[in-house]
Amino acid sequence: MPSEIEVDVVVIGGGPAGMAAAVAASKEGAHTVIIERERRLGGILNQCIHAGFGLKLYSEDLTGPEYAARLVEDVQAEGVKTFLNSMVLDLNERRELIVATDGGIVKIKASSVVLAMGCRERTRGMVGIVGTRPAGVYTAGVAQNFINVRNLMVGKKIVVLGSGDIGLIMARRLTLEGAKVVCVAEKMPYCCGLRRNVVQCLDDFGIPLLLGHTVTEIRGGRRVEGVVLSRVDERFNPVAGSEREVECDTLLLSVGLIPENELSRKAGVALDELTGGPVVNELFETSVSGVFACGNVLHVHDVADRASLEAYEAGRNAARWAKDQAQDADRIPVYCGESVQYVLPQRIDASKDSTLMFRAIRPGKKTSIIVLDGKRLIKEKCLDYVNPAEMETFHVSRKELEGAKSIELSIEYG
Amino acid sequence: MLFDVLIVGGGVVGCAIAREFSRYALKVCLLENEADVSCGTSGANSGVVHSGLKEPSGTLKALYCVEGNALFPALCEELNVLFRRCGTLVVAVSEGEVEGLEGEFAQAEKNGVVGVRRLSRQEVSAMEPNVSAMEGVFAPTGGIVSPYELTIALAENAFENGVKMGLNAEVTGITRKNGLFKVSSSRGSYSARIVVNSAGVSARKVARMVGIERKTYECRGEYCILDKRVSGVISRMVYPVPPKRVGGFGVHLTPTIHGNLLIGPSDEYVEDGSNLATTRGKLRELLDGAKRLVPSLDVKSAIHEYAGMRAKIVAEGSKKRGDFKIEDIDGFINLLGIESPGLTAAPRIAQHVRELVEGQIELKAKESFNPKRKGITRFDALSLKEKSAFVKENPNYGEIVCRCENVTRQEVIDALNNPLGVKTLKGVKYRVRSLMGRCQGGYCLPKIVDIMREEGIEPKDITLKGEGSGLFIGDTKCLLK
Amino acid sequence: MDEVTCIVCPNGCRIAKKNHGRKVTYVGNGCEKGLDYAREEFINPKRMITTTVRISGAREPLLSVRTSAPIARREVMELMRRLSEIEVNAPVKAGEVVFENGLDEGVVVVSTKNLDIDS
Repeated sequence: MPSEIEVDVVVIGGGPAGMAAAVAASKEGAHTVIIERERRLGGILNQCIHAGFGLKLYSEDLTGPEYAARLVEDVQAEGVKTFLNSMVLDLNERRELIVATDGGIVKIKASSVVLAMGCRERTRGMVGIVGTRPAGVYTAGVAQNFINVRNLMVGKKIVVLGSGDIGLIMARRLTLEGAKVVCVAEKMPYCCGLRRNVVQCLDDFGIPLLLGHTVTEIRGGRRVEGVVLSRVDERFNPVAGSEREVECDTLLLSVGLIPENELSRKAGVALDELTGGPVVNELFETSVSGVFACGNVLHVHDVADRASLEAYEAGRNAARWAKDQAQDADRIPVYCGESVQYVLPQRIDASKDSTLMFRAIRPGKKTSIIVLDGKRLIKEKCLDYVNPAEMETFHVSRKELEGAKSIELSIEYG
Repeated sequence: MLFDVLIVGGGVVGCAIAREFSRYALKVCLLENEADVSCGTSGANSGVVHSGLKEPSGTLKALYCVEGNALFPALCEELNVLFRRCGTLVVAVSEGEVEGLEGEFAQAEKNGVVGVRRLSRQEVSAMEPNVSAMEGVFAPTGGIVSPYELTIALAENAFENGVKMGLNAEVTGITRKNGLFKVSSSRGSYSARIVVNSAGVSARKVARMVGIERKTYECRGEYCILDKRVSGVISRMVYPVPPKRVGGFGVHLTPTIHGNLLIGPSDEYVEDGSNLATTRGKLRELLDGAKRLVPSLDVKSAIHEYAGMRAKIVAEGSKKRGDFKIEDIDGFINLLGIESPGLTAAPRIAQHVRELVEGQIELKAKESFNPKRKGITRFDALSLKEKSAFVKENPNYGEIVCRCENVTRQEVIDALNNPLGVKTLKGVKYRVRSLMGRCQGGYCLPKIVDIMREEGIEPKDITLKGEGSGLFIGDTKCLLK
Repeated sequence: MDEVTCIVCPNGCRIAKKNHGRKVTYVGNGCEKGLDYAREEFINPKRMITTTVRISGAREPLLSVRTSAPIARREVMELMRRLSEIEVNAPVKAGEVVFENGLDEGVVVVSTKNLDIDS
């Protein structure tokens, strides 16, 4: 029969969010464990060998592995027990877990749980690119893993679909290792990654960025031989007659990340369609008491530091919850208004100051961020510049929230 | 090398025939031109074990379908292959289809379909609340199986009973001399007293090698698989009344044995039988057809689309639905047009082929024949107690490599050490399901590659489906050096 | 090119270079760092490079590395070629110099990971 252990806080996932949550929980005095499915901590950071991490948390420009090493040190210093190469098979709303480890199946009874499982990548099958099914079609993260960690080169003539930072960074990575990146195609009329990445990853190497284009077909019998690029209209439907075939041996898909909430579903956690992650309150607690969520599993972050900062809070709250359970608070819902992709948290305690996180639906300059309670204006602020690729924060004080029954955040463009 | 029987084509029918002949003291060989069995029509079909209600009465299709269906429970038990008799529901969605439904029912009764009955709207609703129907016909013997799992199991059992399996062997020529066939292939030449042509889409080409001219027509079928999460909307096969235009069953829904909802196939005659591309138009048709049967279906939750090819005996627009063509031309057993219900009929077709050969060579039952084949233990199907014991005994069961389908390291190792010696990614996929989940290898692909390397496969030999489909061009620095 | 996009921070200010006879001014930078960046970018663009080198004796076949400072953009591919030829031995500590070659004055390549010997 499986062995059984009891802990205060279980953190599922040992990446930038999971490690931070575990450290914070442990600092609060909770007996904390991390369950990690890889053979080392670090999560996605281990393959993100580029820099840009730690600017917020450590005021330094670190590579992914360097950033991970800082958190690993903290985890070790706190003496948090880590189950490596282990997978959570089941999680229920009583915070009971079944974990597969190579030492045996382990049953864990936890007072509270922190979900920090991160994301998976959107696949070809999900976006429905037709054509044949040859070797040579990769999602960007998998290609990154092979090239940066496993010493395997995926191809030599590459088309990248998706101009988010992951796609741009991989375009550069492949070029540096001697491959030819034919182009980066993006269905939006604007680039989805940071401008600095367009410079460092595309302009530096003369890689064309084809906005308003998508890959509509893959060709090739056993290995990719080419892809068909088409222009798209404002509804993102391919424009007939605009197709042209581009010769390549590899297609890299950077078409979005999906919070990995299969375990959350098993535990009965309510999910928000807009974020793809759990509905949470200002403590990062989900709809299931004692289950908290943070990092990419909650919503897709663009900066790892923010995932860790969020996780510190979630971990601390999980530890406090483990100690003396919930303190009921009157919470009000937070709604998504005009031009907002999503807002977090979805429920807040109006008797406290709140920090809302949101993403705009499209880029814009000189925008107004408006928070309303019904028709009553609670707060308005101007932002010089918003971009869907960058998560924004918005503070509302306890005083400003007084009397509000619900709040809605919207964006008015300049 | 001289064989009594040489089978060309490792699909479900070829492998069923191989197994059938392995019951006897014969020298049998099967040649398959791909890197694995089940790579043609058998690898891309619904896996439905038909009840027989859809076959034109009086045909071999109808007869062998009903008889084959009856053999499935015992066959799958012997081969350790999952099989479920979930039942087939045919529905008339609109008033205009009711007449066609009545025709289906009459046909079913004539075909001897066991337990077939008519259902009222309420009865359909009670059975399948998410299906939109005015009336229905239900055939309880309809079942589902994994078509490639079954084909692999047949092949492995045949192999274990002495059949020589030649993979990566493309047959290039067949001649006759002194009552013997000489078969040339990319892997060598062989002599045989009997040749069975079960080459599916290529059967016509193979027949031509011995001067037999027959016409078959290539027809492509596209499929769409939905995420398990939305797949629980039906628990039985759901078919519409076939459209008036002959040539297909209409878009139907299959709950696969693994728990996904499969939509398809479509029906499209094509010029080039090797063109297995999916198309926007047909996929749109699939989703529209699916929504017509189950309006609440979340058609945005597709995880994968693919296409297969079958050889039909009748041309596009023909009024008749062609039948199986099984002929014996002086020891050349020619199988043409084995499309649906080919999978269901496979065990019966195998018996038929054996009967054809009975007069020509001596069939002496082999005492050592073992009908049982043990497949790879599926960890996910074990109870918690069993799981615990397995892991304690073997730590490789404690490492989950495919998190979507909960497949362990040991299962992947087993898949790579399969009896037929197949070492492709598709081979792993067919045997243990990893790479088939919603993330389509996003998590497990690097881990499976690791295991392949640990099993001694060089990076340049890591392929999706055999030669020419390599995943890598070298190590990370190979383009710079 | 009379305009560059600054890459120092996520704002990505577009900085234009204006010539007034012999005098040169820059317009559009949001801060001092951007001004410094622009000056250099117009004359001798430089980049920080992160990549991997082969490592033997560790549990993983590749070691992630970075240049200690930006190097001239035109020398980047040459550095990549040279790095593709080397192999380091485990153990290696993060920060350790793994390659020094004098492509650019004083710039070396350091490890960004701790990789122990695989027992």
